[in-house]
Amino acid sequence: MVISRRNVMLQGAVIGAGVIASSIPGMKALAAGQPPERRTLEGLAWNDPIVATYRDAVGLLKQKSAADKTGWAGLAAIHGLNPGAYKFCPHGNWYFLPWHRAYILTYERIIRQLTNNDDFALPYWDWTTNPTMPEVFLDPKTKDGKPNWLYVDDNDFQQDWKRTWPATDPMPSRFVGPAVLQDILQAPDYESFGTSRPRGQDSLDASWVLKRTGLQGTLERLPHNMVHNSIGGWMPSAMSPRDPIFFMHHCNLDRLWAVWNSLGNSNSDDHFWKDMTFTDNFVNPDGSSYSPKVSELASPETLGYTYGLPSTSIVATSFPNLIALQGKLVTLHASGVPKSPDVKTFTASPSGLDFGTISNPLTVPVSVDAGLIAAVSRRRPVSSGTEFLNFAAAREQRATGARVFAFVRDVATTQPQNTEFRVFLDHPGLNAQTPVSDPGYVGSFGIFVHGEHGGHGGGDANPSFALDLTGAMQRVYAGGQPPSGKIDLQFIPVPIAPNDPVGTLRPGAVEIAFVNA
Amino acid sequence: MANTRMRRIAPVCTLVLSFWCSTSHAQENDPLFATVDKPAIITATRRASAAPIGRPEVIVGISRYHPSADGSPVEVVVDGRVEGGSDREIGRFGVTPDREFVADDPSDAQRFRFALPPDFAAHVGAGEALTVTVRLVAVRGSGKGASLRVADVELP
Ligand SMILES: [Cu+2]
Repeated sequence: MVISRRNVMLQGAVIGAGVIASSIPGMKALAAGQPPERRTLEGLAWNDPIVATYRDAVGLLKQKSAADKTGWAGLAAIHGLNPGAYKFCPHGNWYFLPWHRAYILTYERIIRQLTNNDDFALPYWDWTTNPTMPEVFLDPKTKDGKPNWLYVDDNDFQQDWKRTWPATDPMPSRFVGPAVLQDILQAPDYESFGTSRPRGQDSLDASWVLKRTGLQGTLERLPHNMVHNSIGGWMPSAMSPRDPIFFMHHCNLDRLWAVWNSLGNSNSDDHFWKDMTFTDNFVNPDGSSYSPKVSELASPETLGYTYGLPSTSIVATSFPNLIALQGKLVTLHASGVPKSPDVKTFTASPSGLDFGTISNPLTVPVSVDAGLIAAVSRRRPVSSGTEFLNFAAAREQRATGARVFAFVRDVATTQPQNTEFRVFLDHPGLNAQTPVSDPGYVGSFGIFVHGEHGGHGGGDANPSFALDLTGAMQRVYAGGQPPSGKIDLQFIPVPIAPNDPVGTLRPGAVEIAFVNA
Repeated sequence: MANTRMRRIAPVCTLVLSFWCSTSHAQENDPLFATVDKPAIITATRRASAAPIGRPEVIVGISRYHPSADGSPVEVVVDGRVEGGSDREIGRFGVTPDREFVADDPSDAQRFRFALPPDFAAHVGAGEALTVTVRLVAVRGSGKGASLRVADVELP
């Protein structure tokens, strides 16, 4: 039976839905000795403090004079002399990643100073999970009518530099999709991962930094190059940092480097890599030179930011949140009665005796605590790449914070052998054409039919399913109106093969369980 | 090299014209030259003296690149074929910045690395030829005007 990958069966509730990073906000993270965390743009509204700080800072930088080396044009001139020629930035060799790490760090530090906000960390555009261009970059004005400095409308070098990629088109998955990401993260050594040394390098002379003769692996040749080229405007040019999206693109590449390291992969130990100094390439917020050596750029945390990735040295037994969450879920699976103050459940049953059908989906309203919905929707969304992390560490990360599960019990069905049962959250116009890419899609389940009978009326007890509602709840309530406390869990049967007769379903009860670890 | 040749013949206009005609004609017949209408096709064989294949891969070098006339993005698709088989994709890449690039010296080519599918690797390891097709494909728009020249294809 073919079922969506989001299908989560009873025992799989914790394993099914990818990895969610911990939700420690900047302040708490600092208090715990962690630098500010760079986070995904996903779900950040135009007035989110991270987006607003970045937009304000870009505005301040753009309004500085072109001659100011800490202004928008001055800083971009570090990367490219003109649209056709790079200045200091390496591409096509093994300095590509550390140089761009230092470069975007320069901006992060300048933005912190400019906005008086030491908690600021650059957000990243996770194009694998969110392949369309981030919305907050696309409108000339913000929702309150002010100029949106993240929009590009420059006329310079006698040219119009507007982006050309259509706002609603996703970046093709052949450039940024999960298979590409998997290929990237499987690179066995640094020079395969982050491009190899320039051909024939035999010294630490700075001229080697600009030689584009290294072997470009998947990371640079595909998502790096093709996202630059596809966006259009400044991005395909050597002056790409004139487009504010440059930093979110490179921040994601920088994050993937950190993810690859977090998987236990080491950077190059070669003298010609780690001992290269980028002399007078970058500026500090006060305008003085910043000249880091590659070896000083290996760890984000020592540079004043983090991606919140687990350290590979942690052993599996030290995952208290995961162990606690598993304990709580085992209790829930068994009885539906929570035994922990960190678990709150809300139960409802379908009214009447109707079964949900393809033309008339079944809606089960459940009254829950609105504050708990808000806590779940504040969680960090899932970012790509983390699913490749050390499994126990990833699960610990995912287990942390507020989560919500739906236990759909005693599900009676007809025609289960032909039918996929889809579950949605709060979708007013749900019908058979509603795609599984819809934000309200929770997951699907199928029922394995053995022998002749199955479905209701069979001798076996009807099956129950656990679904992780966390992602759908985050998507549905992200940046939107505050939750009322009533949620609709909806069930629609769809045929597995296009012309199959399609079944029906009716759960005996629905439990919504909010779990905090 | 083209530059010196240009300088030498520049004073005679007719010769300059015929030079341009012959280069564009030469490009059409140049198996290493690719546009959206014409792939570059190269046959590579592993040197017998090469070390045993560790991680089988193929490296494609580009000595020239020209973006599309209207600036719309193009991608480069690398296909492979072994004797008796059919073309299969090995990988893709883009050239950034999306601007004119010319490596006068072949050792200055931009180079891209791809893992070889295991069955290709087995053939190549046994000394058979790999035919590599390098295609320019429009991501959006027509891709007209975009071109590239393959410097070399290596089977390390
Ligand atoms: Cu870049």
